[in-house]
Order: sequence, then structure tokens, then C-alpha cells
Amino acid sequence: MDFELTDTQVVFRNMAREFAEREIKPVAMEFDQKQNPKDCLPIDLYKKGFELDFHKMIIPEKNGGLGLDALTSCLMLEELAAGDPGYATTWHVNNIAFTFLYNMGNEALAERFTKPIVESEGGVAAASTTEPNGGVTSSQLIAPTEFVYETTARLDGDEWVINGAKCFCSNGGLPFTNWAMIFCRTDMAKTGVASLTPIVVPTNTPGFKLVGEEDKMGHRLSDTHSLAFVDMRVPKDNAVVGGKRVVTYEHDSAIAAICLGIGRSAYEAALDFARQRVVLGKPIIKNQMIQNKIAEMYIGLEATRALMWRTTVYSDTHPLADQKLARAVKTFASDTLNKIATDALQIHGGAGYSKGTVVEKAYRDAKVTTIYEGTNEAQKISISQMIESEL
Amino acid sequence: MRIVVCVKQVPDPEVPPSRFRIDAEAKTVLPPSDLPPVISFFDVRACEAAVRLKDQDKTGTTVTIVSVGQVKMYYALKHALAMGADDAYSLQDEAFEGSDSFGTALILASAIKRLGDYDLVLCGRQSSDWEAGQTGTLLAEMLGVPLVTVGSEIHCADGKIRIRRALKDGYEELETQTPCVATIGGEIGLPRLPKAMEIVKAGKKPITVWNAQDLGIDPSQVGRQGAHTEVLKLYIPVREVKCELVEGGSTSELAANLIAKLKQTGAIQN
Repeated sequence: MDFELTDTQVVFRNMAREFAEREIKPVAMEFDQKQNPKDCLPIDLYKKGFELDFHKMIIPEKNGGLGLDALTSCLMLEELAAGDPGYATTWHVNNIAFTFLYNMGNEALAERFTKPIVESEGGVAAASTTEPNGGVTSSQLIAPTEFVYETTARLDGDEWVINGAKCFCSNGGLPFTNWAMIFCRTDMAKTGVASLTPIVVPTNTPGFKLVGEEDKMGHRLSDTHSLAFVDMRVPKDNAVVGGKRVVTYEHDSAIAAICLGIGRSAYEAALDFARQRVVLGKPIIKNQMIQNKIAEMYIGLEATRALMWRTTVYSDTHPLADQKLARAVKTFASDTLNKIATDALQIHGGAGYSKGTVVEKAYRDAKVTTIYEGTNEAQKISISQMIESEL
Repeated sequence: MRIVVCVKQVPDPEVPPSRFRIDAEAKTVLPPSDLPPVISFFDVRACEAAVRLKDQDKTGTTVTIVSVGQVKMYYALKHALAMGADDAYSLQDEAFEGSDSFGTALILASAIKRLGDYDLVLCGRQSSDWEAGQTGTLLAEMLGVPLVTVGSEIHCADGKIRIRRALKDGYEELETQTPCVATIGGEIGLPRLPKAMEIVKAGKKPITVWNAQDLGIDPSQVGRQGAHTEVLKLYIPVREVKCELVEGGSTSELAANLIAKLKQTGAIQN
């Protein structure tokens, strides 16, 4: 087993690391601290990301993208998240939307909705499943489920007519969001994920409404909106069907990569502080209780990285990723990160409890990772269900 | 115009010094094996100077990268290609191992002569590892062409090259004929980050490998056996921090005592 990165992967990682140092870190805290969530979005920083092709990560090369494998995408996301996880999440969500588009949609559809993004000065996509009454957790991870999606799409001639509402839609309201993939209930005889058809909706479609932005405790540089759809009409061909697996991007590993970025920043800040902070005549890193925390943080980061690399390489080399493994990496990475963020803040003592410090921000940024993309509790139920079904 | 840029792959200088080990007996550095190296600090700025010239003349200017060193992975060369260079040559042979600045310059000069016509050779002013700062100068001598050191802005017109050169208290601009060699300093500013699409393309570009035989180099002239310098001692300096409180009854007395202390320790000149 070879854990050596290729030279090209290293150039990608180094580029993202340098971008985080030069461009993200100097402004991340300033945007994070703004009161109004609308003011937290670093639009110029996103434009710099377009210049470096961050929006093309997993789009196949023949369609004008970079065609990155799952591991290389995650290497970049870890570095961007070390700068700011909200910033990294915007590109990650774009990657998710394109993964759905290419793996579930037919070639003509994928090409039609890739062009406006790769041929313009830059744009991103969104994907939305979650509804006010439930979402990924209740309908997609635990099976079978009686959960009924309330966003519906019915065919009227050659058009879908979509009505309903979604919430917590990342990238939903960015000024450069080109389209959103809305998961709609089209089969009224079924419930849960089996009832759904994803449909691509350009954000300038009449009836596509931004209801309000979330004022989040963390990930403030990422846009999160509620959406409402009122008699929204799109062509029948916008249904995301007939796809073959083209892209190997692995959502859960990408979350693990973002967790690693946050965790690494918190760990490095805690390590610096523990070396410099002198109490009772010696740096606190000389105290065994602090040493224990530092060691556990290091172990957590290395274990997360090893599992994340394993899962991405598995996704790159196998036609269908092992869903147990994917859910395991998300759950492990986010639980580990929350412990790291807590310990990093604890090492800082009162200095870490004040706003505007790296560890205070990491503590807030960490929390959502055990919640989004299926809570860790639901992920574990899902893992155990899959294990049980294999017995 | 053909520009040749010499780059070196070095251990990442951002790695904490505590991660480095040395073999004092063999007088060699043992960088951490788990961390990939990077392109040297001033060399990536030399690449930036080259691609800025290419930006002004996209069809008529080509940038070729050459690098000496026994490597399995071409991190530095791929980085330079992704910045906008056209082709890259890795110069490696067991005989090259342990070359000092003279040996490195000899290998580079042999490769540049083999490449054929060129107009400008750019090097970093010094490498990020040994920081000897001699290779560019020796290279110009071996190629028999003019040299400008610590360059920043470069302009080309009518077969001549004008180079702004950093001085202690300002700058000067020198004009020279081509071909010539220039070393590039930090005054050029931040090098561009390679665009992701260019990294993908660079990943597919072939790297040409030349060895001592390809370059017609006598192995006794390079490597440890051909070195003109000798490392007498290699050690990690011990840094000691002492804190001393300066005393004084008034602000002016405190300042006077501080100045006296700084002079005494050699921190400031008399």
C-alpha cells in the first residue's frame, strides 16, 4: 500500500495551501465576524477562486473541467478549509451538485448545465434535498422510511411544474449560483428517496424564490438559504435521469477533508499557544494534561487523514463506493474534529473563549459537521442497517 | 525569445526546524521523509519573471525549465510548467550527487549549451536550502555571457534586455545584450499561483531526463569528487533566549540604558 502522493497531487495541494495563506486567512476572520450574514460572503475571494478554476474541480475534462479524482479534490478542500471551512464548503457543494448531474443525469443534460458555468467568468451550482419537516437524515439514510417530501413536481405537457419549499440550501442564494438541483417528489405512490426525481432549475426561473438566509453560528463565509417554489416551470428534459457513474467524487470524504482543515488550524493554534503560554514558570506544554490533549489531537488528525485517503482511493478505484465506509469517514472525522476543537479551546483557557480567535472560530465551525449531510446518529443507524443486511 | 529558468527542488522551508535532522559525520541534511519538497523560494520568482515576459509575447517567447537533482517526483518542474513554462528537463545522474555550486553550474551550463540558442537564463539569487548564492554567477562565467544579479523587473526590446536591479538604498537599471544570465531576488514580488487547469495540463507534459553521458560531462568534474568547496562542519545552531529588564528612573534614563545595552551586545552599531 503506497501513501505517496503524485507530483501533480502535491502541486495541487501546495497551490491550495498557498492560496489559503495568501488570500483566505487574511480576510476570513473579518468576514466571519460581520453581524449580517449577507455581509459575510467574500464575493471577491470567490472570484479569485474562479480565476484558479476551483469551480471546475470534478467536472470531466472533456466537458471543460479539471476531472480531478476524489483524493485530489479532498487534498484541495482540506487546504481551503484550513483557511476557512465556509469558503471550502461553497466549492464542495458545487462538486456535489455536479456529481449528481454527471452520475445521475444523461450526457446531454450534463453538458447543457456545465457549459454556462465553465464558459463564463465563473459560477457555481447548488443541490437541495432538505425540507422544513426533514431531509437527508429522515429519508435517505434510514430505510425504509415513511417520510413524505412536500416539494412536488408534476408533468404538464413538456414541462415540470414545481411547488414547495427547501431549507438549508448551501449556495442557494449566491449572486453567481447558476442552477440548483431540486429533489422533488414525482411518484406520489412512494415515500422517501424512492419517490424523488432530481430536477435542474436555473436560478433565474420565474417562481424560484429566495426566502431568507440562515444566520449560522459557523461556516459564515458559506451561503445557506431557504428556497420557495411557486408554479415554477422547467423543461421535462431537466429531470436528472439516465446517468452512468462518471465522477468518483466522494461527498463524505470531502466533509472529512473539511474537518481536517478546521482541525489542523485548531491544533496548530493550540500547539503554538501551549509552547508560548507560561504558567507557574514553565510553558503549559510541559504539563502532562496538556501533553495528553496535544497527543490525542495529533492522533485524531492522522487517523482521520488515513481513513479519508482510504475512502477516496476506494471511491476512485471501485465502480460503487462502499456506503458504510463513506458514512464511517464522515462520522469519525466530524466527531474527532469536535473533540479537537474543544481541546484546542480548552488549552487556550479564557483566551480561547473570546471572539476573534482561531480556536473560538474553529469551535463554532466544527459543530455543523456532525449535523449536516445526515446527523451522525442517523449515519450510525444507516451503517448498522447495512452491516445487518449483509449478515 | 527563448528563456531558460534553472530551478531547484528543496525541502519545504515552512517545515518547523525541529523536524530537520542532520548527519553531522556525513555532513548532510536529513529532511523529513514524509513531506514532499517544493520549488526553491527565489527560483519560483525566477519562473515568475520568465512567464511575465511570456505574457507580453505569448507567441514569440518560450520558457524552458532545467533542474539538477536525483528525484523520483518532479514537484518543482511540474509547478514551473503549471505556471506557464513550455518544457522541462531533469538533469540527474548518480555522479551529480553532492555537487557544490561549481558542479551544479557546470551541469546546468552543459544542459543549456545542449538546448541550443537561448536569449536569457534566469536563476534564483540563492537556494532555500544551502543559500550559497553562487550558481547563477558561476553559470554566467561558464556560458561566457553577461550577468546581472538580484534582478526584479525585466524588459526586452531590440535584442537588448533592461533589468532593474535592487540596491541597498534603491535600484538601478542595467541594459545588456543577449544572451545573458540574470539572478532574481524577492523584489519581483509574489509569484503567481498556478491555475488548476494548468496543473492538469502540466501533469501530462513529458519531462526529459538527461544524464552525465547525455550532457558529455566528465563525472570527475561534478559531484562530491569534483567539488571545489568542502563543508567543514554541519550543525544545528542552539538558540538561546534570555530576558533582561533594563532599569532606569525616568523614560530618558531607561532609553539611554537600553541603547547602551544594545550597543554592548552588538545589536546596534556605535
